Amino acid sequence: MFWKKKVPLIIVFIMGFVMALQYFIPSDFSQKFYDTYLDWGIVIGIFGGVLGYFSFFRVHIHKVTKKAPNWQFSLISILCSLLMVVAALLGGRGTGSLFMQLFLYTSAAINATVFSLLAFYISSAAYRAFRARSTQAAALLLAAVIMMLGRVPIGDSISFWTRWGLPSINEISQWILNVPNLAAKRAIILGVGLGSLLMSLKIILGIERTYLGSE
Amino acid sequence: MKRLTSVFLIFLIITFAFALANSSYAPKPQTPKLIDIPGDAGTNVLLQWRHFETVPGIRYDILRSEDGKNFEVITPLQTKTITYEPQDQPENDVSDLGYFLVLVPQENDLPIARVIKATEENRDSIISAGGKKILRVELGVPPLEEMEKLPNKFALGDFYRVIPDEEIANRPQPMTVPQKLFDALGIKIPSLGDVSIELTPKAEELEFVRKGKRILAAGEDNMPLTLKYGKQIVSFVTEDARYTVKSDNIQFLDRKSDKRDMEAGKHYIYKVRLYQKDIPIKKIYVDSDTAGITPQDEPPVVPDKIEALYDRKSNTAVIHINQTSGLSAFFDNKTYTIFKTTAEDTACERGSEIRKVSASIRAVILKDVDSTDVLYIVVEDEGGQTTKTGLIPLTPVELEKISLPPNLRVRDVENDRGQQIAIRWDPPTLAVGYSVEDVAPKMMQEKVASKNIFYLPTEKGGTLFVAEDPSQVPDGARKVLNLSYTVPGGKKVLKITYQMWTNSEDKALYGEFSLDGKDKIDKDNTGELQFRNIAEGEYSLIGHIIKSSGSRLKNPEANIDMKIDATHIHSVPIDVPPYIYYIYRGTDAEDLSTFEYVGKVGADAREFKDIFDDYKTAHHKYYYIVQAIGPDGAVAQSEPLGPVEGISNWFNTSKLVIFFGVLVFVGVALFFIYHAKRGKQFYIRPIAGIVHIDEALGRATEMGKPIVYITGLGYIDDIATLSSITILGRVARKAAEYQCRIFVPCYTPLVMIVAQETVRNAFLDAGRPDLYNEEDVYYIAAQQFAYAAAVSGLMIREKSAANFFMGRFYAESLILAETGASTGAIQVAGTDDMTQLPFFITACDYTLIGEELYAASAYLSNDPMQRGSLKAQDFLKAIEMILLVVGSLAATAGMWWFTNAFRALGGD
Repeated sequence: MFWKKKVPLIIVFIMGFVMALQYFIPSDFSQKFYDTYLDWGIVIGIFGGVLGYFSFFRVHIHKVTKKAPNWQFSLISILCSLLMVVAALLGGRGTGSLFMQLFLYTSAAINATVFSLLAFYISSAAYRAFRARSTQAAALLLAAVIMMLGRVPIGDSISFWTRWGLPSINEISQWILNVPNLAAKRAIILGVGLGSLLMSLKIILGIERTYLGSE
Repeated sequence: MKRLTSVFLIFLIITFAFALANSSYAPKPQTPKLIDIPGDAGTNVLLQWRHFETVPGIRYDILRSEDGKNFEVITPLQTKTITYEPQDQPENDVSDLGYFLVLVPQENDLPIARVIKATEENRDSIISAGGKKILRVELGVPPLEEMEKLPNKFALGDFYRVIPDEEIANRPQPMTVPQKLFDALGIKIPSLGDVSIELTPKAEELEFVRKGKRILAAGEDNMPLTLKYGKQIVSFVTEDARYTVKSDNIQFLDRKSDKRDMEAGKHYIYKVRLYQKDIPIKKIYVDSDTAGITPQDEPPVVPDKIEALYDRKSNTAVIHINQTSGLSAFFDNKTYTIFKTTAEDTACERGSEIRKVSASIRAVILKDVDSTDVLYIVVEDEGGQTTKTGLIPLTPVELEKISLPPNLRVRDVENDRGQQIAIRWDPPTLAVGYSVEDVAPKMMQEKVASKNIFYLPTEKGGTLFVAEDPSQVPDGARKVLNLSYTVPGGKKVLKITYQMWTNSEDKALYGEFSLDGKDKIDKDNTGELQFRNIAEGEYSLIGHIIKSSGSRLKNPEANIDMKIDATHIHSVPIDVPPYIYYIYRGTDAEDLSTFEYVGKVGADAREFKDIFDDYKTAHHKYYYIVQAIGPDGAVAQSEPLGPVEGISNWFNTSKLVIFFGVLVFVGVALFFIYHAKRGKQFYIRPIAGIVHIDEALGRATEMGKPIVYITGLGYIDDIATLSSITILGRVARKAAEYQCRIFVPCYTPLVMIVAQETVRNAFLDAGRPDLYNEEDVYYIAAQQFAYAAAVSGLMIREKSAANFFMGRFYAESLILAETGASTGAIQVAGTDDMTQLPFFITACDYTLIGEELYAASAYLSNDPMQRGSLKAQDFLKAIEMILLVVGSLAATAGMWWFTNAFRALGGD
């Protein structure tokens, strides 16, 4: 228990306190200490990568050996992963290498495909969100319509009332973004700032210790 | 695990075997040309060689040896990334044009390529001279498999494949001319500025285009047109080989440094190594031939620009000394000793020494000379070698008096690690310029082809004239077809541009202006303010510099009162005086030869920061000298300032407000935690998203389906991820109590490790370690959309009854939430990422907004200390709200002292 709970808590307390102070200390010693700390983070992260890769293999090999449902996908995952490793080891990662070609013409393409699905998800989500069932939802719908029109050329073209000195749709949409939207965003940002500070304090003081595995 | 290890071992053995059997080709790189930098201490050698476009190399290593056997790698140099693309387009086929490639050999270098068009008369002689018929040109690098079909040879040359386009050549060609050209012609154009004209095509361009498709060497024909209609050729393809001509010159300077030694008179041997591939288990490279050099410590190089002025007003002389050579940075000149002599002393031997200064000094004032004196300078280098200049006569002039800036001082820069020293001076000055502009100028277009206006380029820019008979216009004149220009739209805007010439001690924040009583301030210090809808007339502009305390800088230069002429469209730029300041740093105030040049600033500066690369060198006592240099060469020099030393500061006072804020915050938090620990009960407002976490778990249990918990894309050092992990602990414990399966797919390995530990302990705490399955908490991939696809698949396959999205999310948030919604799962999300919150609010049943995510773990816990901390957060939010309201009211009432007070304490 001492090594698993107490020691990490002591380390977190000391390092949390020291790093909080470091923010206010510009001295050379402080800067070097911070640089070393960052290097340590990178080194630990690399070891984490190895563990992640083992986890990946273990889960998928288990699925293949147990012939779990859809085990074929796990086999493809393992083979593709190994193929990338072999390609990098044999041909390097330079321009024109097999690894780079696999990355650009399969991985990047698949990534772009999944990303492009977002357009359809946004449409379906917008359809659900913009149904004017209540006054609040109607206000949301109105704001959304103004925002959409403000983003396309037709928005300004149909703003016939500008001849009487009234703001165009584009200007109204900018106002929505810059005033009510920004005010709400800032309120959330202030809350996030306070919350993260308190969370840090709880972790440093050992009040919040769930991240160590248990309370 | 044993099986897994075996698979890995076999895989690694196979990989090594393949790699060792694999070999590849890289052409031999050019032998580097070695140049001993003249005028240095024999400690600099420049290496030059060519890298051809088609060489499939990824990097060069530069190797050096003293004995020709043991080479050490000095440095790697990355080569330009090659983009391979097919080069078999029909327009690259030039076989029907009859071009031949002839290589002219050179001694110690690659042959020079010549491209000759064959005629019936010269064809045989070209072939007998070794000419090869060019079948194809390549404008890029073809794929490797195509490259390997022909041997790759190299030659020097710069060629272009020209494919003229008559349609482009015949288009009217745009040009901008000053409005005054039309005024001179008697044509009134009401333009706000220059006029755009469209001209008939140039005759030479039409002629260039009519010559048709061809290959041109650089400079063979009109170069701008060659570049307009041509593309640079990378390689020529003949029947027997590919001749690459496009290359880059690569240079590397090997010089004495902390890492490497170099001595004058010692022989060094160099070669370059080209890597075609650099794979972990085998490196494939080719070395160039070696080349040797013995760098010499040459005598110093005298300055190539010396101007000696004798000021008749003050009876002093000023010498401006400059090295304009690009190699001057390598010279090891140490001191200049100035002698005065007579015009008869042509050998410069009988002079008397009048001043010895450092060789980096740019200007020297001499008081003990006469207008008839003649000077010469002896330059001494680090090795003690000397070189003399010739006789330098004094040019008698009358220089304007120039003054040093007032209150010159030198200070250690505050709040740094001790690597900066500042030279500061006064007065703080507000410099203002302005422009009267048209808000919405109208674009006018006019066809003037029928007016027979012609444009003739001249040395001074061009002229316009009218000619009724086009056949009578001079050569080179082109007809003006169309005009376009802008005319005033009616409303005017006055743009004030300003600069605050201040130093750090002035704590200047922004400019405040008043135009005929209409006040404007530039809180964000953008340097620009606008007064819209200005009527024609004259205005009075008053401006001030506002300090962080909210008060104005008092000195007259920092406050302006000027007239603005808004009767017409025009602009008045900020007027910067034409003098500059040179700054020198020395270690001995009494010895000018210790002072070296460290930089220069313009007259608009009030501060120069001497920044040391190595902070340790700042921890010495330094003196500084400032020279003010006038436009006519007049010099004023300060006395040595200082000494001053760079001090490594132990508290950053610019973060004082933040420090106090943190102290208040921690104090309030500890207060509430202390009272909570003593048993005081606090009311905590309910948060919908948190209340329904239990409901979601209950639903999953009832349905007998698993739950999916996503910790987001954040890393383990993200506060949002840590909060997510704490909530995961509570959710996992409930899941264990309800005997509900929980999946935690992870984006980063470190988060996975922590999540595994958290879930395992949660199951243990709930008394159900038997239900814990480590493979349910697993790593997917650190690629955003691979992760999104995998998690979406999991939710659909497992038909999860409840999904939790807690942590840091990016574009994948909606993909995940919409997929989850489509399966009918109850969804609870929580993130502090502003851009993703709308998506979660739309697609999820409950969303923890911003800090609610952090509050969730405390809310779920019955730990009094956790609830106390939550109360502290609410209390601090109330303080923030009060400050916001007071600040808004104060700003609305024009009382900027409130916000400025935060800045004054360093809260920027």
